[in-house]
Amino acid sequence: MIKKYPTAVFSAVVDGFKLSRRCLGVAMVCLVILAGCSRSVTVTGTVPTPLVTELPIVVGVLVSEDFKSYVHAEKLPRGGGQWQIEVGTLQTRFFDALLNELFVDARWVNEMNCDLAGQGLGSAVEGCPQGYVQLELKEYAFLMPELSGLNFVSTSIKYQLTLFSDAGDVLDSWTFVGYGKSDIGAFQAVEALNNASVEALRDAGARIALEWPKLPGVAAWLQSHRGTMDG
Amino acid sequence: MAKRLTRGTRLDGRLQWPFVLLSLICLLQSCATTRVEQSRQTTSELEQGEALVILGRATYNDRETEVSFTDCLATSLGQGRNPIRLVPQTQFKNDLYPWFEPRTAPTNASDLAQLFAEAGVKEQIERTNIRYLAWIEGDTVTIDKGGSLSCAVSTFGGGCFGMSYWEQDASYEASIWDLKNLSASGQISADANGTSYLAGLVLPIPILARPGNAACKGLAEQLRTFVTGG
Repeated sequence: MIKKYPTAVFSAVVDGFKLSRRCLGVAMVCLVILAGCSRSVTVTGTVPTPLVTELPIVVGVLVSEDFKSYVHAEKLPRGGGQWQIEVGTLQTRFFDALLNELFVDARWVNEMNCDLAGQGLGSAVEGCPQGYVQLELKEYAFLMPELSGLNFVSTSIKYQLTLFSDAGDVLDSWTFVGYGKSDIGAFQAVEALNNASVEALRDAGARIALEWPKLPGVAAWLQSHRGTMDG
Repeated sequence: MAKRLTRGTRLDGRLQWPFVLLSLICLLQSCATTRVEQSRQTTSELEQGEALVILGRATYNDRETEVSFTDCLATSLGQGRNPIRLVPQTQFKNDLYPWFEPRTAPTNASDLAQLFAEAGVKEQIERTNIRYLAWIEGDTVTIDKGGSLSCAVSTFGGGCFGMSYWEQDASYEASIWDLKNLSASGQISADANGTSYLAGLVLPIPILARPGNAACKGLAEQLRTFVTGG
């Protein structure tokens, strides 16, 4: 037996059901958007001028094109979204400023080949670099609060810095990590990730400025050139 | 006419509720207790044109002084009856890069002499005329929480029912270094504790204690007195 409901009540129930379905549809779309959301960060920040004693040495700096335009892409688990973090531009500016303060001249070169006078590599021609440093980005990693359970975003950047003599011989190779972290507020994930990445760059730069010259192979190379200058 | 009067009385009664609620919130909002202590090792104070820099002590562990706390201190000290000349934290760190990064910053006032021997450091500090450096350590943590609050929304309306609470403890310490004498001048500590509530009476009503803010105000006032001698 079909029970007849009053028309007003029936239409209210039907309207409510339609509205619920509409809300459900909107909610589903929002969930799909949020789950598959892609975020893009171009790391920006101030490039400080380091306050360090300038080494009286001319070096050639070797970096790849990938280093200059490095973009880290990662899909986070548990609906953390797809992230694209562009680090290359800032790190290129940052290390250019750092190395040019650390050395009397740090020129960016494509290869270890200074042939100003046509005498070939390692010929101690005036104006040629007295050594080469090769900087490589080995790994970029970041951790969001959703995964760490902490109230901040943390990042780490692993670099390898290799020192070559003017003849192209490896004198030292150093792998080191720069760390950074930043407080995160509501809806400030992008800003916090940017700040943490800048902090990691600064930490890496501080390690190059203060720790790298003390490494045995580097210290010996610096000493040999200081000796040449003093002599 | 009688009907209108009754309705008017009911409306007045409704209008009074928000005022009662707001007064209650205002009364409950100040439920944070603060204790400030100070120990002084020197008697020097800021002279004309000299500045103070406030730095949050950064570490690589899971606890760190919040940037919002050092910002709150800087805002409080830069305003008021006796404003202090402050050098912003970011500017100071950039000017003295790489000597005040989390990894490289001096941990003790006795390291200052060695730091000042580095090329350009002393000159940069003198150029900006910074007399005091205040290292801020500490954080605000939630030490207890409980209760239950649930909210529901349907096509016919929605609302929240229940109550939840959380107790927070804000504990901070300022170590003040004298960059003229290269020595420690003293310490100030501020502890604040408070419980916040979120009551659900159809609408969610937050009653916040803000112990971090209370600790900031207490520490800022004591720091002002410390460096100005006033």
